[in-house]
Amino acid sequence: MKRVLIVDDASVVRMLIKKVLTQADFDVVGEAVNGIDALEKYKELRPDLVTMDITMPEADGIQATKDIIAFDAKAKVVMLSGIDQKEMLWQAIKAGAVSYIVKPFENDRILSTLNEVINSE
Amino acid sequence: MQISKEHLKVLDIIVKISMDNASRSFSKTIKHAALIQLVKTDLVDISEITEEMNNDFREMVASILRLEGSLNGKLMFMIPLDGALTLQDFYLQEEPGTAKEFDELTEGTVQEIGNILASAIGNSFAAGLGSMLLPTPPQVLCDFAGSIFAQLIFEESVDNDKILLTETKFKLSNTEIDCYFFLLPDLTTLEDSLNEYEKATNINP
Repeated sequence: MKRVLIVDDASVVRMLIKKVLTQADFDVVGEAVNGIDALEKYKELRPDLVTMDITMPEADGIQATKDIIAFDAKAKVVMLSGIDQKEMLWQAIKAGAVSYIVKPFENDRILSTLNEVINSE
Repeated sequence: MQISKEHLKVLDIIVKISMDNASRSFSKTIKHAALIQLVKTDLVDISEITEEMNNDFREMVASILRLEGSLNGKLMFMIPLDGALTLQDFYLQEEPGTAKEFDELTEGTVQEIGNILASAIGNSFAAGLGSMLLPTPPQVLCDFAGSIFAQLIFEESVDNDKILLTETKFKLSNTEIDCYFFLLPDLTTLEDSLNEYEKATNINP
């Protein structure tokens, strides 16, 4: 079972993503509420995958992705954001994200993307 | 405060396009249709709009964000408290009536709807302007309409009698719930942005 860390400042979003992933046999090992928390939880939990929001207080998802990749170059981070702008997509890719899903998302889209990322190992 | 009628028309067109996109994102998020009932862009008198808001005695939940980039501004999504509870049930796909009182989940729902709407507006403007427009993390408030609105326009009201405001009213289908979305563009960046938008899209007001 693949272990996932969910990063989003909105508790309802974390709850919804967790519900979708749990029903599809992912193991949600932790949740983080901002970019700083994300790095700490990543170091502690070493998940197989991270779902990462971008707009968050303290440190945003781009900075958190850079920090996680600096700690573990093999980390797999999938961005989930309402921002659908090519410059942001570039920033996410440059930071080390492996995929990018635009909110509002369909449940199937998250699952197919995460499975694709896992199977690309 | 200087803004030409032509720029006001261009802004009105962009806002209407943006709101179409925003309403689609909103509807997809809550899995119910959010129908646009009104989109209005105007220079409004601060004392008049403040009085109008102060006469609305409903308790509201609001999400306030800033938009930062080539065009700066403030955005606010506001919904009556009972509507926010219904919205929470829609968003979390619970039976109607499940949410009984304002809590962390209500706050999170309004926070996320504000974020989705602001992102949709930012995406639409960015597509025209060719540069990034990013929302900041939302601040969620639960208070009377007048108090919330006073917080939105606090900075502008210090030095001005009028503000440029776009107001959108949504109705959630099969309910009696109205909700509001305000955009308060920063005039110092607005004119340059509209000039760029006109050039990029060949809009001729």
